[in-house]
Amino acid sequence: MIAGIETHQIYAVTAGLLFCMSLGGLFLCGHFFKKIIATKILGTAVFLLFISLGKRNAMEFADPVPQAMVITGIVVAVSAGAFALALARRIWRETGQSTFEDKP
Amino acid sequence: MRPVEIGLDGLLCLLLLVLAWKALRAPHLYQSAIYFIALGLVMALAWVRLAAPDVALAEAAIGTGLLGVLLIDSLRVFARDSKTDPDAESEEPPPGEINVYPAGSARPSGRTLPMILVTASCGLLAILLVEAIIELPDGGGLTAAAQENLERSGVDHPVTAVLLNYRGYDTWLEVGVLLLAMLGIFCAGGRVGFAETRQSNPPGHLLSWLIRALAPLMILAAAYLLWLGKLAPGGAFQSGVILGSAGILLRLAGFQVISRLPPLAVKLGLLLGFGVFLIFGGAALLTGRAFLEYPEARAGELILLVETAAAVSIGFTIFAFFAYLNSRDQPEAQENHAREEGGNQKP
Amino acid sequence: MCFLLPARLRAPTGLAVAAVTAAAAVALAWQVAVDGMIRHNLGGWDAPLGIGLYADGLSCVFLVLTGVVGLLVSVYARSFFSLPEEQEGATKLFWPLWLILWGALNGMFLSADLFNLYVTIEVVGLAAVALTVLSGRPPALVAGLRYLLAAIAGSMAYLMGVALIYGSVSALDLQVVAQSIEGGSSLRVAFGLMIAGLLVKTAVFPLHFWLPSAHSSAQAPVSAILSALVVKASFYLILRLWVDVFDGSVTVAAGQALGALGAAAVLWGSYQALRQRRLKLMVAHSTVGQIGYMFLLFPLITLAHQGGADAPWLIHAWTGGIYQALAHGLAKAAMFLAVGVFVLAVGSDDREATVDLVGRLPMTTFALALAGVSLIGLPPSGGFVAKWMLLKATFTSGQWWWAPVILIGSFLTAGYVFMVLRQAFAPTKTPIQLKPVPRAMEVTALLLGAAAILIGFRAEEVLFLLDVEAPFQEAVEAEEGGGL
Repeated sequence: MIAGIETHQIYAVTAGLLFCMSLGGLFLCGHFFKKIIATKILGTAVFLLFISLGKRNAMEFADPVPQAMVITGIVVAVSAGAFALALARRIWRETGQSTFEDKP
Repeated sequence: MRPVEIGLDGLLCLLLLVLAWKALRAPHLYQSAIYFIALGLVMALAWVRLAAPDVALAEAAIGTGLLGVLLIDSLRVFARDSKTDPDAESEEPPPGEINVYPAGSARPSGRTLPMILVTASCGLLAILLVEAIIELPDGGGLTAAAQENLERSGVDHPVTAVLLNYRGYDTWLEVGVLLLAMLGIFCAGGRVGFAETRQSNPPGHLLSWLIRALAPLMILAAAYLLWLGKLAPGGAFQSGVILGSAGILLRLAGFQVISRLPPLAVKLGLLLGFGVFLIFGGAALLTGRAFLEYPEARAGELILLVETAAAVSIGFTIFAFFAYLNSRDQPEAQENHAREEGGNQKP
Repeated sequence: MCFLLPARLRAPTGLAVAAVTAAAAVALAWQVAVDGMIRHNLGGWDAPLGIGLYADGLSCVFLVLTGVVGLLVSVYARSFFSLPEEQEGATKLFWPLWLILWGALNGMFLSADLFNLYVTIEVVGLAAVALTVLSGRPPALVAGLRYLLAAIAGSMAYLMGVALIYGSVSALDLQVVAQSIEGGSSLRVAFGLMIAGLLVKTAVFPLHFWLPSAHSSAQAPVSAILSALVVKASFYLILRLWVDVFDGSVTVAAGQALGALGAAAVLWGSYQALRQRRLKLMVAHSTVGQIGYMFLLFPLITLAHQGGADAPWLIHAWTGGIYQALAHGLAKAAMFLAVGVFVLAVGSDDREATVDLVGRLPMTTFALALAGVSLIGLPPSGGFVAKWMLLKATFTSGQWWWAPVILIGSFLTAGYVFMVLRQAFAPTKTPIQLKPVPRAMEVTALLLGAAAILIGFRAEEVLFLLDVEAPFQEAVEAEEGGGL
């Protein structure tokens, strides 16, 4: 049974689990900083699924199209993350608020 | 597949899950950040296992490297600044003190119901998602199509061909996203332009010398990676990140690179990649081709040109993210005080 | 084509670019109306390897809406951002951000590639958040961060769906995907994830939590852009996916579920709007309610698709849904701009402070009234056409249970609109000092309000444009053949 499992399947399933875990974390974590980390993990999960699907070609090199999309995605995600961090820091500095529940 | 390999992949995946869990559940922000960076490094291993070295490079450099730097730098702010203690700004806390800061993860007890709901729905989603993933057919993908057209694309490395030629439009927009994020960070900071770093400890001679020596080497390495992108893993993003980290190092060592540049040069640096893409795309339209279409004979040279511009812009923007966030603290605090004082005088 | 892309430009240049972009949108719409749909393969690579741009009737309707609203808001913004009160923060970045946003919206309406759509969604989201926090005021910052996190989560869910689709059909082009789709649980999950992600961005009840604070804490021209255009973009995308890509695999139950969300949004949003004391919050909650109306389109068209393409109510449902998007875009932009004028002049956005507005700012009051009439759906406004068509479709399709929702929503809307207007027409003896407001701002608000009414008269042109290669073309032909 074990011999039937392919590398990409293991990673694809992991990607699905990571996705759900970080989605839950996004809702449940209070601090802005952790919410931002949760969105980053969310992104990583999606990229992992893309690449593991690209690996199904059973060649020594994964499908270049998802690879290129993931590189684009990583840059976009990092840009968004940097923007979110900048916002969180400004809020913290101006109001001392670090979660959405706090009232300044 | 050999059982050893399955074991290795399984272990790697388990590690990923555990690290993600830890990053989300760690009681302190500092631990969260460290777990997250570790997750990124393990992820880079996973990309290599999945035969995607380009992604591994990009993930390690941008996803974990740059973002890690920004996260740690932000921790400094979250740990130190405090509304109740305005004087805390002037003093650097001992490094260990960061750990003491409570993460805000202690939840009020009244939130158990939403927690159960969220956990349950995420569990349900996980079941659906895993089922969907397992059901996906084997094979497929566009590897063959990408390989077939490689000759006409002007480069020999399929990932570069997809990024710069087949799907160049995405890459162009993505360079635009970087520019946009920079503008957004300006908005978040409330100030356009860069200030000098706050010197907590001036660099020693040795460090300063080392970084001086290292910077040209890094620029050389960036150029090499850029050129390599034609044939093998490498290219504009990886090379841009190396450029950017050279800038970050210089700045950490106390060289005021960006704040001494004239504003016009900064703007040009940010806009270069986006602009070159646009000019080139427009030129292609004028000569009767499709937007962003390369003439087949000279595609190689043109791609290298566009890549260089993109790499410079990417490196510059990444560096600018850091430089802006890293330097914002003090001048802004002063502005706030000025504003408050002004407000007090009015009535 | 429509990629006039933005650079770092200040007001006059920004305005010029706005005019050219709007003109280009209209020109493209004209060309599509005359010649039929246009496809342009970027980089000269055909699908599945390359990315295509694709303009049909549906995308042109949204392009033109964006062009018209965008141009008028630009004129308004030019006066707005030259006011000394609005100089704080990074407001000089308004023009580059707004033009990038506009370019990305146009790119989204034209894109025919799932991953490229993701990139444009992300650009739209980031630019919208940056515009929200432009003033740098703390409430706007918090609202902006909430918006940003919601937007990232939404686009990641969408991208997860794209990954699953790529995994099952190895293509990203909308048309190719549509042809090779077969069904199965992975596609259903993919579709669900994509739609759910976009619902977050469209702020459909109960995923609207980020909208009221973001839209009400932004500056007036920005609120207008966010409410009138940005939420419409993700609505457009849902519609596009629903009818073009997943045409065969959507079920009646899914349509009903989306309709139920829409209905809940209509009731909840309108009720909340009625309860607000601050004008901007009222207008923002009203957006939640009005978006709900647009989602009543889905149960109607889904049932029609299941029962063969010639269902007689299909054309009514489409007209209603699209008209709702258009009329709401124009009316809501007018309303936010008018409220912006009012806040500037009076210095407060309390609902009670509108006393005797009519005597002092007649033009703005009129704009507010016109926009209100369209939102309520009184004849002969664009909103009336929308709601009437939706009502007609609910009865002819036998889904009468949506009808009370439409009517109650209208009553609630009438409630809050008249509450403001009653106050505005109430005479007062105490003279209140008003700050002078640039004439251009009042005029643009009025023009948008008037446009929201006038499109009620020009249904034929809009329908003709929609007809071009539209997903419901057969239905239109059947209707014409049947002699309407």
